[in-house]
Amino acid sequence: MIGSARKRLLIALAFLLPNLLGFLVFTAGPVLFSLAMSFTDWALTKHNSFSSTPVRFVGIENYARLLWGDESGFFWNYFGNTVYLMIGIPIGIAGSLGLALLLNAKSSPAGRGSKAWGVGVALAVTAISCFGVWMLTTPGPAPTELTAVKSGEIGLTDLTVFQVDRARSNAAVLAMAVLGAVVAGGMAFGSAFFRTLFYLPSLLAGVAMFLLWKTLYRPRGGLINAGLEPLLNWITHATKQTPEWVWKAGAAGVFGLVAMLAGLTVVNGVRNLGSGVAGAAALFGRVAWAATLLAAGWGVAIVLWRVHGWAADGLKPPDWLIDPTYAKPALIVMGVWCGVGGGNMLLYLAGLSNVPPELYEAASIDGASGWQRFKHVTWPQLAPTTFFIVIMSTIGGLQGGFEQAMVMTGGAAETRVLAFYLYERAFKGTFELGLASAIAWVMFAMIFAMTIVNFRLGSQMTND
Amino acid sequence: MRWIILGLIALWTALTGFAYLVVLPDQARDEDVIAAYFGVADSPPNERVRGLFEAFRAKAEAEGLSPPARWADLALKSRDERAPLVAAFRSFYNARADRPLAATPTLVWSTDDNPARAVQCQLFREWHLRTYGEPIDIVTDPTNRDITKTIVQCVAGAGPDIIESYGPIQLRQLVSAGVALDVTDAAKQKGFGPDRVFPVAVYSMSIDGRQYAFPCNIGYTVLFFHRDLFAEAGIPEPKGPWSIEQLIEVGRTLTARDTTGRRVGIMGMHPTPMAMANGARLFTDDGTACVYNDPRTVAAFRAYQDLMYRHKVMPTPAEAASMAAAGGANMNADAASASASALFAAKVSAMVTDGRWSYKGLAERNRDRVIRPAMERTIAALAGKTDESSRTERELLESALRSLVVEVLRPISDGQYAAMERALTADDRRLLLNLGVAHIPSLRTEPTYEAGARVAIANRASPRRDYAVRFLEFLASEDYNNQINFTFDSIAGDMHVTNRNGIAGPPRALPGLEGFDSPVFVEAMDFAVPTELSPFVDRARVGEIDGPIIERVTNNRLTPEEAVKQIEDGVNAQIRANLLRDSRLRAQWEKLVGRPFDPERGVREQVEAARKPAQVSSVHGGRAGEGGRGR
Repeated sequence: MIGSARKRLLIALAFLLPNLLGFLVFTAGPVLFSLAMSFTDWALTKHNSFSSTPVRFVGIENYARLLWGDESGFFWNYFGNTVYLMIGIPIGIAGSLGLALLLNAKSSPAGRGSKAWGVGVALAVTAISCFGVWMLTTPGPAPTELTAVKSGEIGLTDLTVFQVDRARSNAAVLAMAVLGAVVAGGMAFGSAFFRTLFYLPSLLAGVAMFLLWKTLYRPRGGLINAGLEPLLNWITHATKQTPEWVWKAGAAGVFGLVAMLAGLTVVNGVRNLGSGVAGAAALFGRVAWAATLLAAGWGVAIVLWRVHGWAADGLKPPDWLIDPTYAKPALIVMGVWCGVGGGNMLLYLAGLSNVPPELYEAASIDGASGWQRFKHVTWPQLAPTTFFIVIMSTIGGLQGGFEQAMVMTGGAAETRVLAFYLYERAFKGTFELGLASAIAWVMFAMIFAMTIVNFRLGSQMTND
Repeated sequence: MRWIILGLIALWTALTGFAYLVVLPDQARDEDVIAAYFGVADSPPNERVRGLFEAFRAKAEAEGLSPPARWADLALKSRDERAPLVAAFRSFYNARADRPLAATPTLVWSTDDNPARAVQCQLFREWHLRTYGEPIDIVTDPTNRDITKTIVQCVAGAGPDIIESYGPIQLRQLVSAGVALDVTDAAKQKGFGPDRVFPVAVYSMSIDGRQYAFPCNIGYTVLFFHRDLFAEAGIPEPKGPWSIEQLIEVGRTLTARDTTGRRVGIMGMHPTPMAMANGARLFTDDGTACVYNDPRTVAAFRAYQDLMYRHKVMPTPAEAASMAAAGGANMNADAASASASALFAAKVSAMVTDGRWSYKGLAERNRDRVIRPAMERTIAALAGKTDESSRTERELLESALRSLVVEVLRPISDGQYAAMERALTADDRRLLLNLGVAHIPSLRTEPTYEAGARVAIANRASPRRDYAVRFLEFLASEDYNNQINFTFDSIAGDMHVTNRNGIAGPPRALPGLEGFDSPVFVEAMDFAVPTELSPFVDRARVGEIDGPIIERVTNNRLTPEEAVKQIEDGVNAQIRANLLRDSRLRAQWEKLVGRPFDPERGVREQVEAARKPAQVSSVHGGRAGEGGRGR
């Protein structure tokens, strides 16, 4: 029996060996090697097969340089950028959940007759609306200029205004067309259509999508600003028509209301404080929520307080990727757009399908409202899914951002993240492989620590 | 089904094997070397080649292949027309020589995919035959030019034979990595030392008196302007050095604003070259401290911001990006991209800073939009005419057009050029891009050009490094340097060839673009300075420090005073950290400064305190236009 068990083990190991060898040689080996490298001064330009200078063991010098030495300025700056860009993660997760809840609603396609009728009406209304919007918003042809540009007689900038108006018109028509197509598609194919639609951004991931967004973000002629400009013009007009004190009173009112809400949240938390780690975690959650509310309220209040002054010069849409102030928010917005309908939505959909219907039935019998059903049934049942998504998104957030910075801003300082920093140190300038390895291990330590915290809080939440 | 799949796999294997073993080697391996033989055959470099071609001519005539009177004329024939003679020469040569043509040593040159490289490679093959009497082949590898790839490949023993490097910074990286072969002795012996090149190029080929490279060309930008826009506005064209104030005046006149948009005065000015041109320095002469916090830097940075935000003669980054978007010049265009050139070509900007290499794109634009349609129109008009002069004119135009359509840099005869000019009407000429060339304006009385050479380096680990050194020797030849100058590939590094006597072709610049042979390109070398370097801080790290700060200056979110202070503080902090970490570097610094390094005091403060007043003034001194003087 023992002999046969050993034989079985050997056979199993023989089958596992190719995978195991690959893992050891191509994953575990390099990982451990990079750990060793992080304690050396290895720079590709100084230590290579042509050089007689040996690689020196420098202990924790590389780590010290990063955390408080000459590299700390760069490191903490890029770490700050990384964390800033991660602001989009909770928004994306909340969006995914909301979308999953909407898409989980049972909506089967209509019957054949009514489906054809509904689709036909939707398409007809869309076509008429598009034509109407096009007629109303189109800036009129500019054939002479176009002809002249083609022949090289005049500059292309002369067409800038025409292009912006055209972009605005295109945006309006596009919005109408998309709306109509969505209604028609939804009527024809039900929730399957919407699930496919919202998953589409994930199919367009990577550089292609970044280029698409880069085009959308163009300060003039880009669809986003073309859409924002009339809205801001309207706000400017409306703001100028209202006395300044109204706005300032509004700002004070909003902040007062939010502060009261935040205070109540914390007070309730303290009153209902539970025992142990779970109680502390619950209180921490309430305090964090209150702080978020306060921050949001403060932001809105500041905007209301100052909007009259801004409107005096006319509100202008931002120079998204060019202005350092807006570069990071632009990347966050794009990240949220990608995240909402992506893999997280699918995970939530899968999680929702596993919620036993009898729990909802029981809650309904007990007279629970929609919100109560969500709070006491759906949310706890989705806790393991949320836990998994939070961990994976946090890891992805700390590791990511390289491609966005490279493609969308050409590595502008405001958008450089830790992964970009690692690349710069390893493969540019002085090729400091030792230092770059240390960056990688510090990133690992951070991710590991965050994951431990997530596990501690998350598993408690999941078990509860 | 199984047999069908197996059959398909077998067929695929057979076809692939056939392509690799038979078709590809036969087609490409030695054709360029054979072409080099035909290129030198009319004036053979030695008796062996003379004898070889005498015997081959007799054989070819006996076989009825009718060889041309001049072997060089074969280059004018199509590939199919040449094919019988090429095949005959291959078998003839292989039967007589110790080594078949396909086994000719082949050098790999990691360079860009500029079409001019093919011509330069062919020149090298012929030069090698003439100079060394033996064949050689060379291929380019545009996919492995990135310096990281190059270093990793060279260290691993798989690098190219000839490495391309841009400017002093990359040279130092390659030398420090140990991949660059020291060619000092060979250069002295063969006459391709630093004495042949413009002084500014020396920084890109030598370090501490040891030579590692030879220039392929020298890179820098000058100012291009639309002559017709100047004429319409009644502005005299700039002659000789001119100032930023003059530029602003001109820019104001040329910047047109109306309800439909705007045309800007200039694009492509940058703050760091402006500071350098104003006499500001990044480092002291010995690189011991950063001295960027200087009134001259502040003035240059302010002038740069004023061009955009006060005088509005240059577009802000957002405006530049919008112009690119409106024009559709470049899908990925951003503020600092090549769109400035495209927008200038579209007359969105009246002036732009750009290099001589932009000729090809502009020439293609003139050819496709104006010259070609005019020539085709004239050819069509002459089609029905049977008189001698009309027929001759049509033939000239047709042959010129064939040549220009294939490659705008292909030389055409004087007769063809004259016929092309005759085909252009007054209306056509108005549509041509008509460009002038001027010096870059500066805040002082004379310009400054930050210039660096694109150089070739022999890979120290290459088994063919001796041949690679010969390539460097070839780069010093008149043939090569003329080719660079004539084909508008910036200017050649050899100052004996590239002089004020003229750098013009063949090919002649197309109508409207004659400015590309302007003496300004050579005069610029009188005012050329290299990129400033310090042994105590890596230049890439400096870029990481000053890049974000300059970004904020460009976006008008930082004052010039704050910016230059932040740059200087950042760079000196980095120098301090490097000195603290590296005892060898610290010893070098202390030797240059003449006192021990005190980590508690500022780097610049220590350097200035250690020097006498006269030396301190040289710390602030303006090398631009002085120490960097060209010849």
